[in-house]
Amino acid sequence: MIHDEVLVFSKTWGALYLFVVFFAAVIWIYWPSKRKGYDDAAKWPLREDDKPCK
Amino acid sequence: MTKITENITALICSLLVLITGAIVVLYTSETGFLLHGWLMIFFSAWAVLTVVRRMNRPLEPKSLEYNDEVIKWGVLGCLFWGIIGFTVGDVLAWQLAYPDLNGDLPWTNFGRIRPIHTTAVIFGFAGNALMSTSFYVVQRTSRARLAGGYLGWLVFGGYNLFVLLAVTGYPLGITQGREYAEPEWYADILLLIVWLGYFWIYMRTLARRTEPHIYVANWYYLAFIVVIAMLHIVNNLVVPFGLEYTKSYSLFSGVQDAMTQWWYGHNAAGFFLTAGFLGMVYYFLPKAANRPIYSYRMSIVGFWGITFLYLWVGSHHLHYTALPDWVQILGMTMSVILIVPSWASVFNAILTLNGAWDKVRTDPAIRFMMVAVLFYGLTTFEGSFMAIKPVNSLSHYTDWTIGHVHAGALGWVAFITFGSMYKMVPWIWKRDGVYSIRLEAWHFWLALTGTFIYVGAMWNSGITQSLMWQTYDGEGNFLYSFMDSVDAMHGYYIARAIGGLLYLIGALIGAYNIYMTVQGPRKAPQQSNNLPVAAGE
Amino acid sequence: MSTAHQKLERHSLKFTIMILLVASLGGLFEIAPLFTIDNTVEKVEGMRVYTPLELAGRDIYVREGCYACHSQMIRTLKSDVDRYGSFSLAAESMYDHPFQWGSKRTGPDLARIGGKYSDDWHVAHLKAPREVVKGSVMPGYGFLADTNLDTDKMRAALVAQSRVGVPYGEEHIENAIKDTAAQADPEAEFEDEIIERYGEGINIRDFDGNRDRVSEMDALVAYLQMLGTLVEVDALKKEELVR
Repeated sequence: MIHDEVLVFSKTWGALYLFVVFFAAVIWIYWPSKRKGYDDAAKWPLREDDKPCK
Repeated sequence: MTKITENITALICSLLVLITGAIVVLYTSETGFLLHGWLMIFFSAWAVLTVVRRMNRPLEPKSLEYNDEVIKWGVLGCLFWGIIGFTVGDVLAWQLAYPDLNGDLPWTNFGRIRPIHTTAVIFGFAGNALMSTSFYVVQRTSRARLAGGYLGWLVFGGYNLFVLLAVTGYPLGITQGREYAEPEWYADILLLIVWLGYFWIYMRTLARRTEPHIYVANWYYLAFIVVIAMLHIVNNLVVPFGLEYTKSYSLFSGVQDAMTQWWYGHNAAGFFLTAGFLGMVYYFLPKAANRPIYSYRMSIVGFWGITFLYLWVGSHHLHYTALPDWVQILGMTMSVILIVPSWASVFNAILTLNGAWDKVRTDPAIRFMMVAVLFYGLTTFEGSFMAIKPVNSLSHYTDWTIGHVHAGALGWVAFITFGSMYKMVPWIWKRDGVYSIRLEAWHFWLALTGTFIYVGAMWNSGITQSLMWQTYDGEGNFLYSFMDSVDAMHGYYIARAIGGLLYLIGALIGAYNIYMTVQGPRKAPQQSNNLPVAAGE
Repeated sequence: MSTAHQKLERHSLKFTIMILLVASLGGLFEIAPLFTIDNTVEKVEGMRVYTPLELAGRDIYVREGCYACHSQMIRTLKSDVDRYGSFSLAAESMYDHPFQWGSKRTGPDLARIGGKYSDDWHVAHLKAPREVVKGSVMPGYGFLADTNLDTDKMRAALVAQSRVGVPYGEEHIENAIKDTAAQADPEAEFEDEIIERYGEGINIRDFDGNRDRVSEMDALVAYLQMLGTLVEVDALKKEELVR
C-alpha cells in the first residue's frame, strides 16, 4: 500500500530532513559575523524618531 | 504615486463599491442583501464625496511626517468593535445561563448572534488593533512615511465595511456556516480586495526603508498578512446560488471540507491572533520598557518555527473523527513541537523586561503586556497539551475548549492590545501620557479578575461535562444522562457571565480613559525633544 | 527610483515568497493528499443526495447556527458510540457542503438523530424546548412553523449543489421546486416520482402537523429525521472501515 510507504519515508527521511533544515537555519541565524547587524536592529525601537527620513 | 493618481485611484475604488451596491439593490429580492446593498452605497458615497471635496483643495507639498491619521481611526475601530464584541459575548453567556433570554426570535437566538461576538472580537477588535499598530510600527522601524496616501483610508474603510456587512448579516441569517469564516461570498471578496491593498501598502512602506534589514516585528506582521490571505482564499472557495442570492455552498464537502476549515480555523488563531500580536510584542514591549529585545536572534528562530509548524496542526480539532488517522497523528505531533517556538517567544519577552521590573509595578501598560505574555505561554502550553489525543478525548466538544480560547483571547490578545494602545494613543495624539494611571490600573485588575473567573469556570465546567459523559455504572450503563450534564453547568455559566461582565466593565473604563486622553491637552512642543525615549517621541 | 531602492523592494518580496513557501508546506503535504488518496472516503452502500426538502432543512440548520452547539460527528470513542450510535463514516458527510461536524456539544450530537423521536416530538421540542426537556438551554424555534418555506429558491440551490460536485441531474433540477413541496404533502400525487428520483425510504409526509402550508419547520424536521439513517452502519464489517 502506497500510504504505508509514504509513512515510513516521512518518519525516516522526512524527519531527518526537518532536523537538517532546522539546524541549518539556526546556524545561519547565529553565524557570528551577523551578530552586529542583529544587535543594531534590536535597538531600533528605542531610537528617538520624530520624523521619517523619507 | 502622485497626489492626482492617488485621488483617481481612490475615486475609482469607491465608485466600484458604489456601483456594486447599486446593482445589488436593483436586482436582489432578499431583505438582508438589500440592506447590504444600501450599506455599500452609503459608505462608498461618503468616500466619493470626501475624495471629491479634497480634490478641490490646492495641492500641499508632501509632508515629511509619519502618517498617523488613519492609525487614529484604527484605534477608534478597535475600541468600538471591542465593546460591541464583549457586550454580545456577555449577552450570549447570560443566554446559556438563562435560556429565556434568547427571546425565541430569529435575530435574538444564540445560534445567530454568536458569530457577531466572534467576528466583532476577531475581525473588528483584533483586526483593527493589528492594522493600526502595524501601520505605526512599519513607519517607525522603516523610518519611512506610510505609502499609498489615500489607500490607507480605503483599506481601513473597506475593512470595517467588511466587518459591518458580516455582523449585520448574521441576525438576518446570512452565514456560510463555517466557524470564524461565516461572512458570505460577497463580503469575502471585499475582504480579499482590501487585504491586497493592505499588503501593497505594507510592502511599499518597507521598500522605502532606510536600512537593508527589516525589523523583526514587521516579519510577524507580514506573515500575518500573507498567510491570512492564503487561508482566506482557500477556505472561502464557494459557489453562490447566483449573483442575486447571498447564500452559497462550499466547494469542498465532508472530510476534506472539515480539514480545510480547521486548517483555516487554527491558523486564524496562529496568524491572526498570534503572529500579528507577537509583532506587537516585539515593538511595543522593548519600546515601553526601554530595553532592547533580550535575544533578537531567538525572535527570528521563533518566527520560522511558528510559520512552519502552525500550518500542520489544524487536524488536532478532528481527533477520533472520520478524518484519516495519519492526519490526526501528524497534527498532534506538530502541535506538541509547536510549544518550542511559542515558549521561545515567551522567554524572550519576559527576559526583555529584565532590568525594567520596577516599571511592571508602576506602569499598568507594561503590566498588561507582561501578563499578556504569561497568558500566551499558558495558552500555548495548554493548546499543545489538548492536542494530545487522549487529552483531547476529554477536552473536545466541552467548555474546556471555550476556556482555552478565552485564555488566549482575553488574556493574551486583548491584554497585549490594551497595553500597546495605552502607549500608542499618547504617542500618536502627541499627549504627555494617558489621562489617568489609576483608571488604567482599574482596567488592568478588572480585566485580570474577569479572565481568571471566566477561564476557571470553563475549565471546571469542561472537565465536569466530559467526566459526566464518560462515566459508567457497574453494569456498563451511563451514570448520567446528557441533561444531567447540562444541569450541572448552570452555576459555571453564571460565573462565566460575571467574569465576562467584569472584563466588559474594564474595557469600558479603558475606552473612557483613552477618550479622555485624546480630549486632553497636547504635549507642549518644546518638551518633545528632551523627553526620554520611553515616554514617547 | 534608484536601483538600490529596487533592490530593497525585491528583498522584501523575496522574503514574502519565503514566508508563503514555508507556510504552504503544511497544506501541501497534509491536506492536499486528502483529496487524492482513495481510502480517505470509504465506499459504502446507501449514500444518496439530499432531497430538495431535506436540503432546504439543512440550509435552515446552517442559517440558525445549530452547529454552534450541536456536533454531527460520532467519534470512535466508546463513550461516544454507546451514547449516540455507531461512529460516523467519512462517506456519510460526502454530500455535505459545508460539513457540519461542529466543535461543541452544548447540546447532544445529532449525527444519528434521524428516526429516534417522532415528528411531533421534534416540532414540540423546537417550538418550546423546556416544555419537552426540562432544563434544556436551547432557544425556541417556533417562528419556523410560522414561516413559509421559500421553495422557489431550491432550483438555484440544486444548480449550485451540482456545480460543487453533488450528482444532481437535469431531472432533479427541473423538478426541484415541485419535489420540495411534494415531500411535505402526503396528498400530492408525485410520491412515486420522488421515490424514483431519490430512491426508496424517503420520508414523505406532513412533518410539522400543519397541512395548510409547507413551512420551514417541515424542512428542518425532514432533515433531522434522515440524519444518519442512510448507511446501515451496523451491517458493515469493521475490517472494511479500518483506515
